[in-house]
Amino acid sequence: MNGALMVALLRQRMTSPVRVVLLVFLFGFPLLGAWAMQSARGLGDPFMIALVLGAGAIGQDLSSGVLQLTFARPVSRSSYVLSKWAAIALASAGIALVQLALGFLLLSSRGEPMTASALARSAGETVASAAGVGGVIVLFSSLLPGLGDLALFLLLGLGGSLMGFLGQARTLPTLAKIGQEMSSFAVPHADLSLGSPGSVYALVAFASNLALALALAIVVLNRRELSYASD
Amino acid sequence: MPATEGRGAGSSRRDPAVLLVIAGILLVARVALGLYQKPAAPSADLVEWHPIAGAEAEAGRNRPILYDFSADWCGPCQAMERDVFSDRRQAQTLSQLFVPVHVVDRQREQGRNPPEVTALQDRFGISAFPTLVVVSADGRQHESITGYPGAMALMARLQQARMAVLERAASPAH
Repeated sequence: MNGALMVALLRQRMTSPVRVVLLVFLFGFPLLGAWAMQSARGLGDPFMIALVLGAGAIGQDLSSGVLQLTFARPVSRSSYVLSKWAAIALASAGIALVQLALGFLLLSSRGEPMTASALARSAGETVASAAGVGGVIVLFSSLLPGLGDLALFLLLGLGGSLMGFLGQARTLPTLAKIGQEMSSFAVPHADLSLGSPGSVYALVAFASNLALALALAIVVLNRRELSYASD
Repeated sequence: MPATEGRGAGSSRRDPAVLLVIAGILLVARVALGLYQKPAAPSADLVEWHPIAGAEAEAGRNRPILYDFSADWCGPCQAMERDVFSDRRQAQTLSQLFVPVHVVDRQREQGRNPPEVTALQDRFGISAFPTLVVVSADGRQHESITGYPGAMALMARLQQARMAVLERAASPAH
């Protein structure tokens, strides 16, 4: 992994007013819920934070011509992809963890204390989920230029939910399962409730999706031919 | 002209062999686990549910009834079952603090519900699933939670609803 690439991505994200406003909203809204309604909903969920930070991580470099400049330096393509992934995962996990800690303090101060084990589990799930979302973002972003990755998220997430709903409503377990797998790939969430039935499968499926997403992102980028010609 | 390079050792475009092997192993493990776990899936629920008929007799001054109104086709109900009712600690908490009663709607599958289910749904005005209703032992105080807000939030709201119902049931005005 390349530290300079990681810092460059985050620095670039912090110069975008739209992304910064969205991040402030995503950080503050669940805390407002914890304060006003004693609700833990959304606390420590890194999905939207990672999406705001990571959307177009590779695609925007590709459409703006930055990718050609980057690869003119001694940087391997796998290192480039893994650096993008690590930057998105670490930053979104960090923001979500701070939010989770503040949320628990707010809930405790308002008479809704959470146990240490629940806090530890939520923190673990936050970090793992951030890694998962980061993996899917770099895969989708390697496939389409610009912010095309957002369209893929919408397509897979909404398509999966719709298929899952239809499968349940019409009692078609195979359709429901396909929909569930599509949704869980687009919106990865690590479930660390080990011991409950299905939890081992959920964890292996999560790890499998992450490894597959990263490997495919590198393979896709390795096969992408870049033009160095000028207009 | 596009730059073309080889993908052998030392190339900046080398394919991630180790990552691909790990992804392949995890994929095989995932399919195998999916096939292996299929028959075991239905026995997830760890809550000690009580039948509708005996619930009021089981309830006490500090142990209200918790009606869980759900349906087999309801996605959020399944998520709640997976996150809350299948979690050993949360299931234990629910079984200790409440007299839990599972009320499953069969309208869609069988065209109608058993009379005791219809009576409970009418009594508490159930219009969506899941709806959780905490009812005092004398049946005169109740609090409803509609929808599934997530495991932690649900447990917090259930505790709040229990306290509210117990306080109102114990107040002199009552």
